[in-house]
Amino acid sequence: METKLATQTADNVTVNPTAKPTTASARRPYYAVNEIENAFEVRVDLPGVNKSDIQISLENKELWIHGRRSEPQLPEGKWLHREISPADYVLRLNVNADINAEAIKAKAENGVLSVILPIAAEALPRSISVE
Amino acid sequence: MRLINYTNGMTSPWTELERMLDSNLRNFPFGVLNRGMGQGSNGLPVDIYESATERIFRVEMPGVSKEEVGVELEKDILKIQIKRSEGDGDNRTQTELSRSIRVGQDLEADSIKAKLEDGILTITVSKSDRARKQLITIE
Repeated sequence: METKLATQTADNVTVNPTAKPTTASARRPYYAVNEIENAFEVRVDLPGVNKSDIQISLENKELWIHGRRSEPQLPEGKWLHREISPADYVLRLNVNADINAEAIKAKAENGVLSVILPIAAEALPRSISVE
Repeated sequence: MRLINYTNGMTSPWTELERMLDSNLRNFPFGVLNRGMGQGSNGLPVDIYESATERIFRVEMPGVSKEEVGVELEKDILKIQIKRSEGDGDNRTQTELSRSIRVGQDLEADSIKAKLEDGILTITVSKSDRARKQLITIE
């Protein structure tokens, strides 16, 4: 049963191979997709991005997430060492399921964004009782 | 001699094991702890910045809450440790990730301050008086 769910997730939400970042300095964040009850949950690592700097859109079955990073407020000085990339995050995912766009919910906590994409009622499996 | 080519449809027992471990790791919660070292991650990336009076360390750790982070400065080693316990009894699992940075001996351990915001831990430490004095140039 679990295997089946996993396959469905992979079929329904796939990576868009032609996706290109909108800016030269953008990079693709780590993400995971899980199927929960009548919805998909997309979790994206967006460290260093404030809630107000996250943009999410769903258009033509393409989920687009953009996280703008801002440089930290620091006293006058200099960088001695840098490993954290200052580039923005861009994630594009093709969603091959009918989503109820009105009911999409998003929450950001500790630098991880969670987007809930509810499957549209007409796309859900229904049982038909025999009269 | 017998050669087994696992790439032709056969699954190596190790691949299967890795897949199982992977699928467990991919479950919630998400974030730096579940990324693993083999997936293009370099663990905990660190930025170091210096002003005239302070040294500032920024550590990227998405998905970690402040209760899970420990920071200590002992001699010239700054250690950042993340610990997460899940489940209880026999199902208890503990995940740990840490990074130690040699920071030099010119810092005041008592002055250490840490703040976690949007998955970035910022640690600020004052430089010792001796280190500050070294900055004064003689005219």
